[in-house]
Amino acid sequence: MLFNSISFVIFFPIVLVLYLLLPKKARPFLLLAASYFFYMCWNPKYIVLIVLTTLTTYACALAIGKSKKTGTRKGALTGCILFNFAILFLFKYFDFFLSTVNKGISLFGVEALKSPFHFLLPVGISFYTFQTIGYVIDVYRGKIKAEKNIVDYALFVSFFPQLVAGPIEKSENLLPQIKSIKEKNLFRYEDLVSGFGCMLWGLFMKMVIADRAAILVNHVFDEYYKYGTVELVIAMVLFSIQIYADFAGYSYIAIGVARAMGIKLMENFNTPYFATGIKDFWDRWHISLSLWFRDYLYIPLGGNRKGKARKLLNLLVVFLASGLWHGASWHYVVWGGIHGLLRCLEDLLTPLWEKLEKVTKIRREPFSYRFGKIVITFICVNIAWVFFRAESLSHAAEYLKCMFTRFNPWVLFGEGMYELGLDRREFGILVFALFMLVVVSIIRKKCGREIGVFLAEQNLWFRWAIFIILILLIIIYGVYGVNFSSAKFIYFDF
Amino acid sequence: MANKWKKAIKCIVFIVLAGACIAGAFRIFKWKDTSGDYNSSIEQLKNTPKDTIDVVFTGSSHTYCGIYPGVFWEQEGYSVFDMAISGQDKYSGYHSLKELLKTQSPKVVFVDLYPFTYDKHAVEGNEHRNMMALPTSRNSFELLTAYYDAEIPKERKKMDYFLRWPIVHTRYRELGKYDFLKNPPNSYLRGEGLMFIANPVENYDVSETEYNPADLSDKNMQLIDEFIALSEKENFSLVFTVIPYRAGTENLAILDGAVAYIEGKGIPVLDLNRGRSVLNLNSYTDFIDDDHLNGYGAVKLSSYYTQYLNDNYDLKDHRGDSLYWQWDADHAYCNKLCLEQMLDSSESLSDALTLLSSRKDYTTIICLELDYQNAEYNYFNDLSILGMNDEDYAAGGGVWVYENGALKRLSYNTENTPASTHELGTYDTLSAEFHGDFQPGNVMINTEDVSNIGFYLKVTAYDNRLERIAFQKGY
Repeated sequence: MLFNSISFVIFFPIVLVLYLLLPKKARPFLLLAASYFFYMCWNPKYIVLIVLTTLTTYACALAIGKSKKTGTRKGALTGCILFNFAILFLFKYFDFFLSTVNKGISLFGVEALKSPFHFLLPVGISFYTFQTIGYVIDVYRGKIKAEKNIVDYALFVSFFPQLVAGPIEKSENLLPQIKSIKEKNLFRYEDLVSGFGCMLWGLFMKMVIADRAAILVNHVFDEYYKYGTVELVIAMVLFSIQIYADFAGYSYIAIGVARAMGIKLMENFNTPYFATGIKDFWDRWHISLSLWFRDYLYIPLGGNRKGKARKLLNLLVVFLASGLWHGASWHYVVWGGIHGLLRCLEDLLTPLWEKLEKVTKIRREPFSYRFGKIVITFICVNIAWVFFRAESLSHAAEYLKCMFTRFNPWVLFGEGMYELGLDRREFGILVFALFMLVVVSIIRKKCGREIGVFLAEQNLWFRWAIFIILILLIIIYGVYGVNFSSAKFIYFDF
Repeated sequence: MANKWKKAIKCIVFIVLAGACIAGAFRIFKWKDTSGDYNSSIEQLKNTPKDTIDVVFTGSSHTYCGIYPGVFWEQEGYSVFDMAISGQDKYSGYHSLKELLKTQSPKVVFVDLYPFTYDKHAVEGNEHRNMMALPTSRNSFELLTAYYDAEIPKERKKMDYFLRWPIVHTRYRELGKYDFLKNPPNSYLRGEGLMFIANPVENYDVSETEYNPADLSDKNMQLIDEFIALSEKENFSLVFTVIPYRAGTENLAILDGAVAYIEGKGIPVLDLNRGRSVLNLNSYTDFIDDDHLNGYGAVKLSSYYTQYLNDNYDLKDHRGDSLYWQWDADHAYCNKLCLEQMLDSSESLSDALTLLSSRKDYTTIICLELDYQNAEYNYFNDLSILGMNDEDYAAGGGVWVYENGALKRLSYNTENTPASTHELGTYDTLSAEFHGDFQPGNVMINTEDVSNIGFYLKVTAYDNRLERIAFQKGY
C-alpha cells in the first residue's frame, strides 16, 4: 500500500477514526494490527521477518537490561546485531556479494557460483533493522530501559507511518510516545491540522514534482548517449530534485500521518539544498540516518577523538557504509565514497579556505557569500547523485563523460528541450511546482517551522484555501492512474 | 466540551467544502468521449425523459454510424435510441441496456452481434470508453466484473475504472470548451454518430464466403442467454441483428454460429451482413469505410429497420408530442449536418449561397478582395442571391454579413476609424481589420483567421445555434 494510493486514502481515515473512537487501552492493539496489515499489503509472507526481528531484538534487549554481567550483555548485543544483520545481508546483500565473488573468481577461471536463494527485497528492511538495532544499542548503553510490553515494542518496530521508509526513529523519542498511547490522549486538533498539511505537502512533492521530474530523468538517463551537456545537466539537476521531493515527500507524509494521531516523528529533511557544505548537507539530508550512523558507527569507531587521520578514516568508513545501506551495488558504494571524500576534503581544506578568505578579504556576511557556498555544495552533491541514479559505475562514468565533453548550449534555444519526455505544458507545471517548493523551503528556513506547522498557525480561511488548492493540484496534476504504475517511493528499495 | 464540538464542526465543514470543490473539479475533469465530439449515448440517455424510448439498438460504431433515429422519426414517428459506444464489447452492450432499462421501457431491442466476435478491446481508448461510460453504480461494477472476469490483475484495473479519478485527472492536458459548458447536441442527439462523408469501398460479397458456423464460445452463449432472460424479465421484444461490415472469415463463422444458436432459441435474427443485398448499398456513396455506413447508407439501413418494425410490431407514432422534442431536434440536427455536407460538396458559389440564403440558423460572412474586378469571374449575380445590389457591389470589395435575411456591410478600419466588429455568439466576435488584399488577418472570428487568402471571394458560414464555424470555402 503506497501513501499515494487510493487504498491508503481509504485505509488511513478508517484507522484514524477507529483510533479516536476506541478506548485508550485498545489503541496500541489497533495501531499494531493496522501496521501489520499495512506491511502485509506488499507481501504477506515478509511479515515473518518483522516479527522475527521484533522478537529477537525484544528478547535481547530484555536480556541486556536484566543482566549485570558485561560478558552476557555484550554477547546478547553482538548476537542480536549479527543475527539481524545476517537477515539483512541474506535478503538485501547476498546476491551482490555473490556477484562480486563471482567476478573475482572468474579472473582465475573458476566457474561462477549459483545463488541458492531467490528472495525479493523486503520493503523497508533496512529501516526497521537499523531502528531496532539502534534500540538494542541504546538499551546496552543504558540510554533507555528495555521495553517489557511486547505490544508496545512491536508497534515501535512496525509503526506504519514510518515502517517502510523511515524516519529511522530513535527509541528514546518514539518508544515513550507509543507507551503513553494507552495512558493519555495524545490527539490534539492542532496536530491533526498540521499533520494534514504535512501529508498534503508530502503528496504534492511526491506526485506532482518527483514523479513528473522522473519522466524526464528516466528518459535522459536511459539514453544518455543521445544527449549533450545541456540535457544531461538538466536531467542530473532534476534527479536531485526528484530524489529530494520523493524521499522528503514520503517523510512529510509519514510525519503528517503520525502527527494526526498525536505521535511526533523526527524531522528527516531540513532544506538540504540550502546547505553550505557537505557536513551541512548531511545535517539536513536524511537526518535520521545521519544520526544513526553518527551514534552507532562513527562514535564507536572513535569519532574525532583519536586524531585527525583516524577521524577522516572514520568519516570515510561511515560514508561508504551509508552508500552500501542505500543499495547493494558498487555505484551506491562509490556514491557514498564520493561524499566521504568530499567531507574529508572539506575538513582538510577549511583552515586553508579561511586563510584565503582573510587574504582576499572576502566578507562572510553578505548573502552572496552563503549563496556561493550553496551553489558549490549543490554542484558537488549533484555530480555525486549521478553515481546514485546510474545503473552501474560504467553508466555513471559514461554519463559524466558525455556531460563534460558535449557542450551544446544551442539546445536551450530550440524545441528539443520539450522532447525529453515532458512537453511544454508538463515542463511549465514542473517549473511552477518547483517554484512552490522553493517558496516552502524559504518559509521553512526563515520561520524555522515545517510547512504543516506553519499552515496550522495561519488563519482558518487561508489554511483551508491552501489545503483545498493543494488537494486539487495533487488530484489534477499528480502523476498517477491507469497505465502509470505508481512509481514506488525510491527509498522503499533501501 | 464546547470547544471540542467547535473543532468537530470545523472538520466537518472543511470536509464538505473540500468535497464540493473536488466534485466541481470532477465535473470538469471527468472522462468525456472527446473523440466523439463530447457526444455520448449515456449522456444523451440521461437527458431523455422517462419511458419515451420505444426502440433501442445496442452495438458499436457499426450501430451509431448505421442507425439514424431521425430516419425512423421522419418516416413513422418511432422513438428510436442508439445505445451504442465506440467498440462496444458484448458485456458493455448488455450492461448499457440494463442502464437504459432503469429509466426506459422499450418495446423492441435490437442487439448487434458484432461485439460477440471479440472478448477484449484491441484499442485502449475503447476500453476506457466502455468501462467508464456507465455512471458509477452496481451495474457499472457488474460490467467491470464481467469484463475482467478472466484477468489476474483485474482488481487494480477494476478499481481504477470504478473510481474514475485515477484515470481522468490527466484530462487537464486536453480540456476544451465543452468540459466547462454543456455540449448542446448532447441534450438531443439519440445516440447516433452523424457523418455524411462518402469514401468508395471495395465490393464485399458475403455469398463468396462459405457458410461454416463456428461453435459458440461459452461466454457468448451465456451472454446471449442473459439477453434473452433480460428481455423476458423486462418484457421487451428482442431481435438480434448483424449490421453490415466487412467481416473476415473467422468473424463470419462466429456470427453464423451465433445466428444459428439464436434461431435455435426461437429469437428473430436479422443478419444484414449476409443479407445485405436487400439494402441496395452503393459501395461508392454509402460508406465511410469498409466497416461503417455513412449518412446515406444509414438512411437505407434505418429505412429497412423502420419497415421491419412496421411489419412486425405495433409501435406508436410520437410526432407532434412535445415530450418527444428531442427526436424533432435530433432530426433537425441530422438535416443540418446533411446541409453542411451539401455545402462542402457544392460546386459553385451560387449553389452554396442558395443553400445558405434560406437558413436563419447560420450567419453567412462574405469576404471580397478590394481588387475583385481583376478576377475573371463576375460574382455579382451570385451575391445578389443574398440581396446585394449594384451599388454596393460597385463600391468595392469588403466584408458582408448575411443574417436573418438581411445583408450588412462591415466597414474596414481607416486612419480615423477602428476595425468593425460584429457579435456572432456568446463567445465569438467577427472583426474586419484590413491589412492589404489577400493578407491574413483581414477577417477574424476571435483569433481564427477566415480571410480569403488565395481567393477573390470567400464564404464562411457560422452556425448560430452551436456557435461554431460550419463551412468555409474560397471562390
